[in-house]
Amino acid sequence: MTIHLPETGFGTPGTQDFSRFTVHIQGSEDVYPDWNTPELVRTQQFAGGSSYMTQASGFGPSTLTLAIEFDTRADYVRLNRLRLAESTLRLIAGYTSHDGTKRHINGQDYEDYPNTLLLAVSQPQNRIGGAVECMATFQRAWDPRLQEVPQ
Amino acid sequence: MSAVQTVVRPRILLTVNGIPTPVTSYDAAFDATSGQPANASVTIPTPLPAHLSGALDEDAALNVPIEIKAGFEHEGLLTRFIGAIDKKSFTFDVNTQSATFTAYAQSSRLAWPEEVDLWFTGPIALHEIIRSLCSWRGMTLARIDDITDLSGNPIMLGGNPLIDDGRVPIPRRTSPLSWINRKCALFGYRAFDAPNGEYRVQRITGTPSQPAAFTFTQAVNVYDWSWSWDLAPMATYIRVDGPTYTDADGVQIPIISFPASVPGNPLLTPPGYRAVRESDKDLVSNALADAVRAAQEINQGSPSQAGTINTYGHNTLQPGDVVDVIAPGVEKTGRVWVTGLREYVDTPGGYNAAISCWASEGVVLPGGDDAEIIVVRTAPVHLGDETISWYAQPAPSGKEFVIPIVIPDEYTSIAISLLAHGCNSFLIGGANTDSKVSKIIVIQNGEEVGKAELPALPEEYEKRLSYNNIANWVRVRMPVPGRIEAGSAEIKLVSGEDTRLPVSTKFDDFEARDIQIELRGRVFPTLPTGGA
Repeated sequence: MTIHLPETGFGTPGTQDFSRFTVHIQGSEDVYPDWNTPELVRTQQFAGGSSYMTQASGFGPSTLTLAIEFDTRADYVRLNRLRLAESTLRLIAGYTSHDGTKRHINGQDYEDYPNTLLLAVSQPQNRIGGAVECMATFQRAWDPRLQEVPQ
Repeated sequence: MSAVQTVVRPRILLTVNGIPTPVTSYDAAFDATSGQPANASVTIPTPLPAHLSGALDEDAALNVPIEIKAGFEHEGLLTRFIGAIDKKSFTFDVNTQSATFTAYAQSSRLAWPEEVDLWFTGPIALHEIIRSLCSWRGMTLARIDDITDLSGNPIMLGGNPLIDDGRVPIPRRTSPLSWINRKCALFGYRAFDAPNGEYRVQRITGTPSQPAAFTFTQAVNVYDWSWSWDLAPMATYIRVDGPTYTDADGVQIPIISFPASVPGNPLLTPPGYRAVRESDKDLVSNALADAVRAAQEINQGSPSQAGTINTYGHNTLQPGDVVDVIAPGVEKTGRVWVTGLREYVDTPGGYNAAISCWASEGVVLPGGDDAEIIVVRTAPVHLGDETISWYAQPAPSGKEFVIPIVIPDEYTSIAISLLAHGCNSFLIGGANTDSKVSKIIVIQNGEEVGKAELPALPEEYEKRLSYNNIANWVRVRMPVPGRIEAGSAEIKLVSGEDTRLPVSTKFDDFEARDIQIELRGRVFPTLPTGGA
């Protein structure tokens, strides 16, 4: 399944640097990939007993890997130029657990995730006619404990 | 025992020159026994913030103050290191770029030596010297306990006018830090940097009796621990030597402290004891030497026991604190000193510590006396050639008085002490006239091995003082001349003849009484026999 929304992409929205893409949903049609946020913890046992201490330092970088498609090769090139750069990831609103900045553009709700790093681009596949598909991994800092409970 | 889960959130705050600075990890070490300045290493993520970057100035960040606060979220952060950056190290390889800064705590200000001698006027308390040095080197956080002997008397250095004019020297090119560490350790004290930023001097001796700051219990709050007992550093016969000085009478006085008797200890069998010597030229009195011996007998008189506790960070713990350990797994239960602390924070490990502990169980032994007084004669003896009615012994016994003596194997000085009057003094032309004819002569194996003149004590012949009144006698004390071997010898008091006088009265008349021989430096404690 592919979600076609004209304004999903990565870069500085409203500028020539913004790379538009569409997101493939792989597997079940009801499942949209979410951010993976690892816990930074270490548990150490107290020798001789069953008690232990867990030190929870916080959370590591959140990552999100998407299968994306570009209508044109130019959009793919724009994304490639932003590899290992921080910018804004714009996705359809409400489809990930992170709270983004809500945007309503041309009758559609989006969420912007600023300060997102384009960590990796892999498995590019060029289609006849100019479309390009690839896997892209995005990374950002996020503390789930500060998340607002949706109403 | 029930299972308990404890969840904590470690926190760390690093400031460099007062500016909060992100930190990847930190590792700090404090050691009360080595005397070396505490140090901390912090790794800072790159790219470095502007206040640490050396882009414009390669010396950026060096000699810059840092402070580390650490703790767990629920208890708040406390200072765990204060110092100045002494070293910065950058690495850059294929995968990563990193920056590590190493800082030293404020006792490093005491480390470098002066190029001139430092003198303190004695008597002066050791702790006052240390406070003065700290102030002089600009150390703002110093907590120096009064340094006392085990009875609470302050340790006073200097004050012996016959040694360095009563002053206390710190010789040039001696690090004040090493001098302080050396002197403190002698008396059972330690000088060290503490995590809260203070430079501390406190007693760390024996087994602590004060309340414990914390209890470490197996299976409750210790990841793991180790404990060891070692006979190698143990010593039960401790001799302490200060300098040997010459007193006002010219007698060599060694400063020595040793136990009168050393009990046998099966742990050291054979021979049942182990001997060590401590010496320091600043131990200018027997009281100081005794104080050192007492402290060392406690610290060295039992197997050296030391342990390491690996646990989570305790941000109120300092070296010098007292903790209780309940550790059946390492066969240790008791109260001990914290002598060292290594704290480290990283992710995901959190805030953790390795705590070094120590205690000893030696006892103070009664002291021995290195001086032996041999009473030779208490009654007066008259040497000379004239009957003098007002003398205690009007008629002379002869012109020599022989004191037979057996010299022991080990001594460092022999002195003769007596009451006398009239020696080396003649009435010539109506006036008391000094002479040099009467002597002390030492004979051994039939040979004269040394001689010295008796002092001139005015005859006061015309006054006819009654020498049955002891107030008219003068105390004479002088070293016995010559080098005397162990064994039999003779010390002679000899009346000499002065050729300025008529034949009938040419010999020097004088009396001596309360004759004693003083032997010093003889260190012979009663040692265990038979190896136990």
